[in-house]
Amino acid sequence: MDDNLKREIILDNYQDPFHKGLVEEEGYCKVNTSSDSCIDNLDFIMKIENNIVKDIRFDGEACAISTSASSILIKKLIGKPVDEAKEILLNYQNMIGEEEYNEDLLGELNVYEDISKQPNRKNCALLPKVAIEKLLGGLGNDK
Amino acid sequence: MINRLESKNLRLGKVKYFDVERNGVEVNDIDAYVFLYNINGHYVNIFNICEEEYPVFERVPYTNTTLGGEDFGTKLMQVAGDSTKSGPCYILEKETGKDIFDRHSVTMNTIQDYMFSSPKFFVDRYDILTKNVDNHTRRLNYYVLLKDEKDLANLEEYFASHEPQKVYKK
Repeated sequence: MDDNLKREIILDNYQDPFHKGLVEEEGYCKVNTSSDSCIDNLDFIMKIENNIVKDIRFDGEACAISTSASSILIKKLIGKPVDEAKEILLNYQNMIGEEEYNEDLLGELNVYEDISKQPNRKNCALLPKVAIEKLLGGLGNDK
Repeated sequence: MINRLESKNLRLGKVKYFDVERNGVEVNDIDAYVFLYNINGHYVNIFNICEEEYPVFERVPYTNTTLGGEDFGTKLMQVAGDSTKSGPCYILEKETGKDIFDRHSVTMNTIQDYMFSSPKFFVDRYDILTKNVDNHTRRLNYYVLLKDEKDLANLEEYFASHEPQKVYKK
């Protein structure tokens, strides 16, 4: 992916993140996730119905990478069956960890393909993945 | 999609070393510059967004008073980022992108052109120039390239010679 396009996608999702802001409705589970190496401290909520990811939202303070990754991941996962969502997360983790992955599954998430060159930022890129994975695995708290 | 950057949110910054122990910013031997973009109160290096977001300081008037009663002096105030560990930091220059480019919004190409023709040392210029060697998309200045390579190596050596030190808030 072209560097300019990567920059635009990251800046766009950082400036105007998708589904930022939590809602007070029933049926959501919630987790908090934070980083030791960055300012990131984010809450995620998720609603799953009939094994489909119906909604994910997040809020909190985070750097450009965490915020944009949260936004792009949420766009990618809403409407997906839980198993497919888990597969996307696994491929995303593999990409960040420089392991084999299916880039066709990741779409805009491919903007982070070079993040492994910046070890400090790998945690930032993985932060939303860790939170969403917990929610998919039923490890979140009922709101 | 963001195609143009709002120039009022674009700031020129100096790259310095922040020392937690001495609670201050050291003067580098090398004057290094960077373009930062303010998004929701955070400053990102627009040519290397994946880089760590370093603490950002701004020079503000400091109310020292002369015997004659006149205010003088400035001090550095942190405006963004985490300053709990020693390492590189950014100090915002007075000029915004609006002052530099005299227009409301600018493209990345305009900013690159400014960097290419500037006598200042920009930390990202070497990377941009070397990528252009592969792309052949923009003109190259080999003198600038060689000087930047040397300055960048010196700056990295300077930062590496300071052991990063994390201090946790109570």
